[in-house]
Amino acid sequence: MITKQPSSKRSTFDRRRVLKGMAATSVALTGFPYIAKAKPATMTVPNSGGALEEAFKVAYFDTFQKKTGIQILGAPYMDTARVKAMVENNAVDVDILNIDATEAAALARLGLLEPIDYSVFDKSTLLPAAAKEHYVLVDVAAYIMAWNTKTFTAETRPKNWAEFFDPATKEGQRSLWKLAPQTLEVAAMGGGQARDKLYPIDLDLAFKSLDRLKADLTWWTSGAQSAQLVIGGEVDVGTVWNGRVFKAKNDGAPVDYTFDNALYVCDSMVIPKGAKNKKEAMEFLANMVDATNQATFSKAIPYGPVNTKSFELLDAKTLELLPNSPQNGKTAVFQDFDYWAEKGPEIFERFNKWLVG
Amino acid sequence: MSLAMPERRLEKLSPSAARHRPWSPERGHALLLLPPLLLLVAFFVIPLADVVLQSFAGPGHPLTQYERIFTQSSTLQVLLYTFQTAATVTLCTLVLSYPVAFVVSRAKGNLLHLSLALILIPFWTSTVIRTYAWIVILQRRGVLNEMMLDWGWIERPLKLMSNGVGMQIAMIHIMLPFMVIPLLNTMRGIDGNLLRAAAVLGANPLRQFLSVYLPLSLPGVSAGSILVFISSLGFYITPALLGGQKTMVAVLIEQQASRLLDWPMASALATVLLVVTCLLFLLYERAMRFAGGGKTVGEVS
Repeated sequence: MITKQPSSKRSTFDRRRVLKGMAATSVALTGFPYIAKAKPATMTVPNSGGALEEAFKVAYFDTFQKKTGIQILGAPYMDTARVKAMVENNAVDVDILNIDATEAAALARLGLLEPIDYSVFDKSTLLPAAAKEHYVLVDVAAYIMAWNTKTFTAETRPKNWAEFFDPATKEGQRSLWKLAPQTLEVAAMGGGQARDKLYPIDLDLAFKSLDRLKADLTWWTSGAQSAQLVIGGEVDVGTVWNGRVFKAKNDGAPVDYTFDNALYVCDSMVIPKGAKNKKEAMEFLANMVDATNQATFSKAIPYGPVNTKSFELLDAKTLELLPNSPQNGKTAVFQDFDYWAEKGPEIFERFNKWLVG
Repeated sequence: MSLAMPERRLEKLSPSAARHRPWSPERGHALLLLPPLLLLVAFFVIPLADVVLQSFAGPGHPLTQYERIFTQSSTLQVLLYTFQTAATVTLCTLVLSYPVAFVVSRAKGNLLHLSLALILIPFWTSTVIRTYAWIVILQRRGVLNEMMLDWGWIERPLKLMSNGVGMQIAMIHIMLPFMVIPLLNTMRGIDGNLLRAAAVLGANPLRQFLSVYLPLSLPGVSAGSILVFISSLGFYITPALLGGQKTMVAVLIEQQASRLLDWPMASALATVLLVVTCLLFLLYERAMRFAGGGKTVGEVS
């Protein structure tokens, strides 16, 4: 079952890609030196890899190459630590990269990112939450509730976060991500905090919710594990990212999920400070938020578009799988990435203290 | 553990050869050490020194990070739990490995090759894969629980993972070769005649073991234990996948380094781990020297 997961995040680059890159580079250096001077022949875009990179390639990399002649090469995920090291050591060899939105917000707060140039594309068609000063959200995934169908049905499952955090009402083993972000949001909603007033998170309320679950709780630390816990029956109901369970459900695994009261978590694109090809990086970003390309992306992987015009380009079957399609997005809420960039350290500390307490 | 050890062995084996040295092996050895030494300095010592320096570099006075670590009960508890886990894993691994190593050290021919293969093949399998294998076995609807339910040993599935027990079982499994191989190495060097001599002198099997075999095997015990203990301190994947509520320090360091980008704090945590490990190592070597009758760890034989 593990192999059926959409992919492990952060897969590494393979030989074929390296060879392609080398070939492209040598063409650039020998065959068409004048092009190499005018603009880069290739750009390297680190990303989460696996299924996400495949979707990126179809929707964004190939279309960009067609439009500009610049070939985009995928590369292994760069986490915040590596971006920080790269910028601080003046060794910026990446022009634009895909990174988790909370990590993007943390980098922005430290002043390690170039501001986004919104004159290059029309941001009025984007979701208001997507266009930030230093980063742009490029897809919408969700932290959601999933249950093992041998224990619960869509009717008997905990019908909201309050019931999820109340083992007395709905008996069963639970699982949550062992990290403060996302988990504390749903815990706060479980304690009764209104989803439209989720920030600042009422931490006392959130920890009280966690206290109630302590005896019936299993923690997960990776996306593959979160799905496996529910599918394998280690827990009866738990949190997962939607990309981790849709395929298992389709393939007949005993798992089902809901987008009710989902927490939107997003991928973003950032341009590291000191990037050499800023202009091309912005053009690439513009190509990414294009309505048609966003729709192509959402067809390849069940992460929703940030361009509101994309929904009309998608069929009903695809819309059903997307966290922020009109029918699924009614009760969901966006995570506040900048809140975590600011308050992260103290909340992490409190969360770690609760874990050992 | 001392670098000069092989040479001392050489002297013991062939005293005459050592007396008339045609060239200085000491100088030759020193030259051979140069490339690995340079490599270690460039890629290990300098980055490590950088980590230690970073821990003093954050905002506030130089010791701010250490003050935070030692005034936060949660961080101390995580450190304590990490050392407890490493100690438990080391002890269990030793208890399991010692008889295995003993039997294999006596084996010959195909049996020897087969047992070595059985020890080494898991060693070459990725930790992630072995950890997932343990999940399949230990989870609530896993192999072990289903089996025990079928046989009527238990009525409700036991919680075997996500609680420290499963994590330690998997860690012990992963660490076994690191203990068996040093033990085997030492045990194969033990002269069987010594045991026979003890028997001739009237020692019963228990006495033979306690007075002769065990002390002679101590270098292997100590080398294996140190290897397992120090590796266990830095375990990341297995605690992440099988662990319970409690956190090992590697996870905390990862959080600080890559989620919160607080490098001074991450460096300080790593430095504390390093210093405490070094102290324990020194203590341990002292203890082993005492147990080995005043000799250092490597040279008891």
